[in-house]
Amino acid sequence: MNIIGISSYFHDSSCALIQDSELVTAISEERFSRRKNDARLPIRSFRECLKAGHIDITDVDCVAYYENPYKKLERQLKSGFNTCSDFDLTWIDCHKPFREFSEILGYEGKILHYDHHLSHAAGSFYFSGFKDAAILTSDGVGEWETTTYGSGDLSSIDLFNSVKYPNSLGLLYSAITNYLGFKVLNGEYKVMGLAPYGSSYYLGKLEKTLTVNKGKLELDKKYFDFTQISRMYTDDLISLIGFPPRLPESEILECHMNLAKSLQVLLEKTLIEQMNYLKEKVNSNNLCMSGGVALNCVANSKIKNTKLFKNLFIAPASGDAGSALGAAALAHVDLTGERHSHDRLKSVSLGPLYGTLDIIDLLKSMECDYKHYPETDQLLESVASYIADGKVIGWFQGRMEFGPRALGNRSILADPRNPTMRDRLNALIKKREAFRPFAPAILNDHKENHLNLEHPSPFMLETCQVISNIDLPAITHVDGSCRPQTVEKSENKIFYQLIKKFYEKTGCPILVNTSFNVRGEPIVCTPLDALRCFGNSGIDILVLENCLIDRSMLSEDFKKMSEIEMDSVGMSQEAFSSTTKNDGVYSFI
Amino acid sequence: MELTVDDLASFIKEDESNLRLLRKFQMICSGERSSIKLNKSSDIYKKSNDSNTNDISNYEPIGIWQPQKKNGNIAFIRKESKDWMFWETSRKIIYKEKDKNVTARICMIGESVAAGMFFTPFFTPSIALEKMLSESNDEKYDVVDLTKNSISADDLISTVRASLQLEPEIIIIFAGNNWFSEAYFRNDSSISQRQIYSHIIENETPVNVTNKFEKLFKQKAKEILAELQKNIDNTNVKVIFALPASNYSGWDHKTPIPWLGEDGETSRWYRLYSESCQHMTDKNFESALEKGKEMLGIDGGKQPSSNRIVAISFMMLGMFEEAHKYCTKVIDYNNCFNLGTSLPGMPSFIKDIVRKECNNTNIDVVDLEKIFSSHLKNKILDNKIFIDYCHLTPEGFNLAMSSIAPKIKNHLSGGVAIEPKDWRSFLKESTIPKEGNEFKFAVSFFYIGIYTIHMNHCHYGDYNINTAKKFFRDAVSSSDDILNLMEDYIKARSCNFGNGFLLCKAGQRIIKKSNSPLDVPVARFGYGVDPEVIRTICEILDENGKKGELLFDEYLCQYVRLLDKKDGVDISEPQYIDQITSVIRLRLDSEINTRRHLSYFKAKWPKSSFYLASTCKSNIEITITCRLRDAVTNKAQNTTILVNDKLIQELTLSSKWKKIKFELPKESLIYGFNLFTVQWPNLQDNEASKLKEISRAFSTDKDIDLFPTFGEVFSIIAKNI
Repeated sequence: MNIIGISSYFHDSSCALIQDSELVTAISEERFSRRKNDARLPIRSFRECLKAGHIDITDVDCVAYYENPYKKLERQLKSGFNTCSDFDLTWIDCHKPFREFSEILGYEGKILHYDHHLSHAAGSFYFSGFKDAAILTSDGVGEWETTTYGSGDLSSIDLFNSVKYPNSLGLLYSAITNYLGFKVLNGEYKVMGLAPYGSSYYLGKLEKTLTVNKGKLELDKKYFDFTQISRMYTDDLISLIGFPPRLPESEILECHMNLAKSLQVLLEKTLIEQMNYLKEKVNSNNLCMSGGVALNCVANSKIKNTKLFKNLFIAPASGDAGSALGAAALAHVDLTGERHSHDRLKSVSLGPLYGTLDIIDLLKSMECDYKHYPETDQLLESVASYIADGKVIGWFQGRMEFGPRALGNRSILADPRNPTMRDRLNALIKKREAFRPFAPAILNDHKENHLNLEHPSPFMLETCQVISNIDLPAITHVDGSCRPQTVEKSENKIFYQLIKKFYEKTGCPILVNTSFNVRGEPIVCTPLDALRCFGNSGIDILVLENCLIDRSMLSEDFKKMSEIEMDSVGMSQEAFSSTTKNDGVYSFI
Repeated sequence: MELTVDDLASFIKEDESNLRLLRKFQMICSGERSSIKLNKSSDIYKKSNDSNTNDISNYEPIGIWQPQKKNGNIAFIRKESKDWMFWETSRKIIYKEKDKNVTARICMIGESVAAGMFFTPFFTPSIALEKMLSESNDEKYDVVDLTKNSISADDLISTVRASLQLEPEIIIIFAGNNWFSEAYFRNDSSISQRQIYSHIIENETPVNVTNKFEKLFKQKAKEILAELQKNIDNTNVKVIFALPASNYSGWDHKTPIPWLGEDGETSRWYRLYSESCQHMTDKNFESALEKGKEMLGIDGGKQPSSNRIVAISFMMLGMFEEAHKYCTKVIDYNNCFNLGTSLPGMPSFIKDIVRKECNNTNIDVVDLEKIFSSHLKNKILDNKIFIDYCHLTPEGFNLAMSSIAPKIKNHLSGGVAIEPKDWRSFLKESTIPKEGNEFKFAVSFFYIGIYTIHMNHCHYGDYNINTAKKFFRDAVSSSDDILNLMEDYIKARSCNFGNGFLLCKAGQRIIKKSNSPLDVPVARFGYGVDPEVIRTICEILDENGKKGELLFDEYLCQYVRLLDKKDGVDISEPQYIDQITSVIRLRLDSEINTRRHLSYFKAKWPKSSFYLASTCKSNIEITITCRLRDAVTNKAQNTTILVNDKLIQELTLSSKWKKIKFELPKESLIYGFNLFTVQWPNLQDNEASKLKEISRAFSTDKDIDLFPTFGEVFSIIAKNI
């Protein structure tokens, strides 16, 4: 049986294939199209699912869609959608997804659809390995729900309570993100990273915008208006906060940091209240979380530390991309009566793989100098030495990860002990804001020596304090925390071995692990993407499977061309047409 | 009864046809009309923040040249912008004040033809004009080239207005090829446009969309001219409007037709089309002409492909006067629909508008078609003047400018210093800067050859590859150093199926030798470059002592290797041939499957061909998944598979996807790229109901396809056995 789950049309369109009860592949469209957060119908991802499953269109038994467009239309009509951004009201066509699956994807078979938050819930519970669990989903908004409380029991999920739009913790967070001059849906992570620099000076003020009680959550509408185009807040919020909204790309001041911190504290408090409510209602030691809010790893740690629930599982791709998995899993239950798996999701290496021979062919045709290591051990030895010497490595191995995090397959790696490394990575390689920290990848068996972390954390979904004797400035945030990835040999052998080599050389079992991309582009997918990014950044060494390219082997022409290519690949489709769409700040709502 | 939003939502959810009613209601409420409004001025040319506004606050940008103070003078400095590569490249600074020894300043404003596409910046119409004007005496003329490739009408008007700041004596407007884009039928039309078009589709026929296009286009042209006039009123500047011409004989374009409306008509049209093409291949042009006329009788006479067949037939029969009428119709109606690839060209009915509107003004109109015809002594303009459908050869620049130069001279002298009929005195071979520019010309010809492939799809024979071949040979004749560039081109195309073009060393070497920034996308994207083109280039390399065959083998190898993969390769994927990464609308070309727009291939013609690489060492297993769409599904007509024009397999298909496996014996293959062709059954006859369906869908904001689709291919997996 072949089931393809699809999430699409709002942000991070994705597809996932469950084949004979196995999750075979999951990919986000942006990785192929090279358009960040690509929201279009995921044509390329769909075809990639077929390829990965060795099937074709006639073999697909069911397409499962992650949302109910009919319910969504009701909400949009009732709540006053920000209509100005779309003069032709194309959004009222609620039949569009199913029609396009047929007309554009060419699919002829059964289509099922599920409520948005149910898909989120399934994307977590059915991949948690838990037989039972309390479930919390929280995001901007689905159809009507912005938060749901539920329980999972073997193959069934029951969402027994919810918070409805416009009351939304996710939208509140996005509104402040917007206030702080960051791009909504993209900048929330930056706000989270900014928070440790500030104090909760504005907490009292922000608390006035929100009431939380026994599972209920209510925003004070005086302060928010989600129907506007270019902002999500009102003038009353500006008066309340007391300083003007920050212009994008302008200097970040202390007040901004304080507001970010206050927001973070408010989020954590709210989530913990919601946990308490859930604990009262659901008799389980396990908690599953999903939805965009669950990407806030600082809050996740706070939740974990309450020990309200003994075990916690957070969907690695908690946002809408992960709902493609949830939808597919739900369809599996509907069609077979059983959940597809009772095992915990151990790896998100679900994307395409490129072999060494293909890579060698590519490098030869490019007339690009490289060194081939027939023995992996020698490669690891060299790379570990380079890292210890202060080099920054572009690391491309195995299957591409699914979800927002790079976990050792499409990663940029560096020495965390190097005091200049963070600034260097931010300025030259990632070309991003200086305040943003980097995450460590650590050998799981060494974690307790260096981090205040007792359990594995393979997906970078929580934070903890750094307690290491080794000075680790590149991965230690200003408040002493980090967002670790624990690495097990059984889950990612080559990455584990690399870190081990580095440890043997330096005594440090930790590497900086950040995603392999520069600012504004999605994580690299193909070897060519990696080469382009390599040329367009300050990465010193590129490792493509068993091939290594030193920056000194690159010509100036190559670097120049990488820049030109970066501009032209994924260029807006409107570049050559006379029409442009006016995208609102939250036009996907 | 109180109606609530819930009721509205239920209404929309219940049935898609309810959406149609809502759209009509929406249109009425929005009060939109069908008139075309010119867009507001593009704001990408607003003053940049770093301009010193204190001194230059009274000046506006001229295109991408921003006003600034320089050396105490007002100057317009070229600045980076999103579309920088489309603007004329040679001039970085334009001073407001003319040099004292300059007799006159002339601003050249226009589109890619005016820019001298492919020969810029070393030779352009502006350079030609300046040389012509200066050669006859010691006077100096400043021809300011403000041309832009793909300039819109709106930007044209704002450039004309802004150019007045330079106080030119003369403005030449050399444009009109690109104006069709706001009048054509768009698949993504606004709500109000959709209501109008869906009415036409349902109550008239899609073919009458052409009439609507003509009407809208005429209206648009009048608006453009009125705006232009408004800007130049109350100035002393002399405006010369050069009407561009089109290549009648040397260019082909294959446009499918929309549903004709009467049951069975479209099917009949395509049968006639196939027959006429066969006649032309057999050099039986009388019969081809007869079929072509029958096609015109069915399709209302305004479809490019049928007009083209009649035109070719007349030309081949030596009847050029008769041919001209049909050549004109091809240009007139080529760009009615945005679904197909647009071919810039100025329709005859728009030229008529320009002549008429300018008659009562001080704008002098120069009809380049008349000039070219007079020079060639033939109304059928051809490749002596053109490199493609509208862009000119250097000789073409000369000819065009020599008709304008006397008007300039006469205007400046205040009388008739030169008789208009003596414009040929300006026409000199020496204007073209051949000496010292041999390699540059070679590069130009090579890229022209590459460029011509992407749209020049002929109805019969291999005309388009011959055109490209001629340009490749011209390139070599100009400078045999071009052979190195050709080698590098093959190598770059062999890098990851062309994806690694710019990143590989070969691609970098090519780019360094480019004449103009626009050469980069032509080389890089080379839309339509396929194994046939690669083979042709390799043959020319071999002819000139280079290892073309070896390079071709390397190119072939990257495809052949795919056949050994466990899952084989899908030869219906564009990646198999070439990575389609062009961002312009060519991706919607019905003849080229891009997969950016659709998940599978849609056949708009009775035959669809794909390339299958082979070294003939083993049999190949083919698994094809396909279905019929608008073709008949009864068992009387099968779908056939041909390889290299030989029948291999017959398939009985339906409107549902079907997966069929068969084996291709190696004896049926040739070494290299084989043509794998799917020949579809005839179209269904029930057009009327089809059109109703299309009309309804379009009015509810759905994407539709006015052009019939014979069949669809989801995949063709090829694997060595």
